[in-house]
Amino acid sequence: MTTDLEAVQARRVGFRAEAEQWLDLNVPDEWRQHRGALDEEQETRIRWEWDRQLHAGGFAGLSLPVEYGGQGLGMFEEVIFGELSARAQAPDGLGRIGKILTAPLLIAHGTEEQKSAYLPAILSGEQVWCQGFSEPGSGSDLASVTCSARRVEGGYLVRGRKTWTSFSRQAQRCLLLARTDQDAPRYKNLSLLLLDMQAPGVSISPIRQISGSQHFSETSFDDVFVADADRVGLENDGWRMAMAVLSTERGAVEAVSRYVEIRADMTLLQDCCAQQGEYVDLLQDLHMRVELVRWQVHKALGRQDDEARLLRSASVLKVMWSELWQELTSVAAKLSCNNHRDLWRHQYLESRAATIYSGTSEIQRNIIAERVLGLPR
Amino acid sequence: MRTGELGLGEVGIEGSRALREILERSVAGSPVALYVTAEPLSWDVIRQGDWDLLGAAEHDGGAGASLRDLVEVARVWGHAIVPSPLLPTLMAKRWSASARDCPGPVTVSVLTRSAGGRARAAFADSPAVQLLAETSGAGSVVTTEGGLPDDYAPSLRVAEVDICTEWTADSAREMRVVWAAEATGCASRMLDDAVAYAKERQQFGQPIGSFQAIKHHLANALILAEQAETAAILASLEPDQSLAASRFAFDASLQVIETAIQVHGGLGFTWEMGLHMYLRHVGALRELAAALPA
Repeated sequence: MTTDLEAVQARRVGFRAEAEQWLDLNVPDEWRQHRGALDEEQETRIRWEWDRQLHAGGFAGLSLPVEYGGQGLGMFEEVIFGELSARAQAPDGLGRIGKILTAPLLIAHGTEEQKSAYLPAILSGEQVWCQGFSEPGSGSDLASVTCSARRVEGGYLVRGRKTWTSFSRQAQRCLLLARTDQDAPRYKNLSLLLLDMQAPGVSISPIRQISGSQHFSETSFDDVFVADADRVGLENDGWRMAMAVLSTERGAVEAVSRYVEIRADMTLLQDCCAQQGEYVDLLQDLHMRVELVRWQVHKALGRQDDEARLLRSASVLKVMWSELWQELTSVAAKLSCNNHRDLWRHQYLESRAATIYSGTSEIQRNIIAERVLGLPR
Repeated sequence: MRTGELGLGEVGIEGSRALREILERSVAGSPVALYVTAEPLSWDVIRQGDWDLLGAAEHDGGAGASLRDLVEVARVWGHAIVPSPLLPTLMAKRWSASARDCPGPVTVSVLTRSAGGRARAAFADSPAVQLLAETSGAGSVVTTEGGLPDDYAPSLRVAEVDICTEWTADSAREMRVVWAAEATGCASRMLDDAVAYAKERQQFGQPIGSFQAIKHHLANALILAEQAETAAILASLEPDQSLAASRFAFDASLQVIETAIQVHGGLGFTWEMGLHMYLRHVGALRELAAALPA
């Protein structure tokens, strides 16, 4: 057992060194140094190109099986790469939804045709995906989606609206949760579809957030055709498929990338703005909690064999980093020096969303209480 | 397989598992408010299992537990707060050959502010417990007459002594980490108890654990207990951050216990229920740790 462990350790050390070197050589300078000056078109081009670079470098789909074009490594490597990428200020590729959500879903539940049609293009970075789950009337209560997929010959016609869609303007495909039965009971009336975003009837309008940035869109579907071959799993079994997708939303990789960003905010706050000597205890507490996010991720990685512990780690991590970041930006907005006022104002506004998207803090606490601690519903 | 979980070794895994069994047997069925003033676990049992040598190096006849391993052991100890000087003893025997020569328990003392600059040590009220005079070199052990124990934490029996243990930066750090880890074990136990109570206790015709107000209290407690555990592990592995991480672990652990008392409602503040024993235990540990040289 000791030798196995040593072999694993050696492999991880090797991976870390290789990834560090590759990132150092490949992160584009114009992104690292002039990111603020790029227009949207330039930004999209660099992010798209980044997905291709990842694929060429052998870093796409780290934890996906080799037979499907992945690298056959584990979550540990995903986390290490996430941390190193954030440290190296690497771009965030556009292929995230495809690689993190669609690919694991298709590997587990897709047909052979779906796998061969989509997996290579997802991993190579050619094909960008977006996720169509939330709706204007369906946020935390995901099972209440009303976007409908009406049966027609050979497939469905999709009609309705989805919101908080990231990457919608670049995406070729949408992982869409739609209602395929108007009469069946809750949880038995949905199907998961792979919708073509270039098909007639798709329209996209950006959503402007309180910070001024536009990370999301609202997407409308006006009788968009989806073929039967593009349904994952059985008709009306979409809730189970959606749960499979959400359980692969990998909290540890997300948290470690967030750690690097929050660490950068914390360092700026400590080294520049918070020099008044007041608030020492508060700053020490924040500093410790920032470091605990990273350590919590690494603790969680040792526990992947246990589903309850994995769940615990994902929800605990989400609450930890999102609420910590908000507290940090509140303190920073108060202590800001003149040079960084605009930055902290932006971060303060931007961080308000963190406890709402990807499962609100309230929903995360319900998950912790019911699914981790086993309290009655 | 938990080997490798942030550096945890076999000694930590096996040691904490076996100790948990011994502790569960020794207090089985007995309420904490009663057993903290009794002797549920005799020193003979500890001695027979060589538990006091767990932290000593292998070439000194010990099990060679790392500080990270001892975090796991101290957490298990914190689950039961059995009144016994095992943890200070295994640290004394980790550092000192003279302590290892003693078959009995050995405690350590610190200069606490609350005692007006006098030295205090856990379990020093018992004549069977000796005191480690210095943690470096040969580390002599002395017999000292402890005063009456402070009754704040019956599970620790902190009493005044004439001699203050001489600490090094390393021994003080290690002791602080073990006490902090013990506190996080107390917190995890109190969380488990509060969750079990919330599933059973019925009000308004349903278990109180079905109410979102209770759920969110307990979810917050889990987040804090997880952070406290992580902080204790960090404290054991990163000497530079050890002090801050240990402090965090104590504060977060106390908050978890406070929540457990709230969730237990009226029973939470009764003497018999015994939750206050954990609050007292962690509060007293935090005082001892704060008195260690930084």
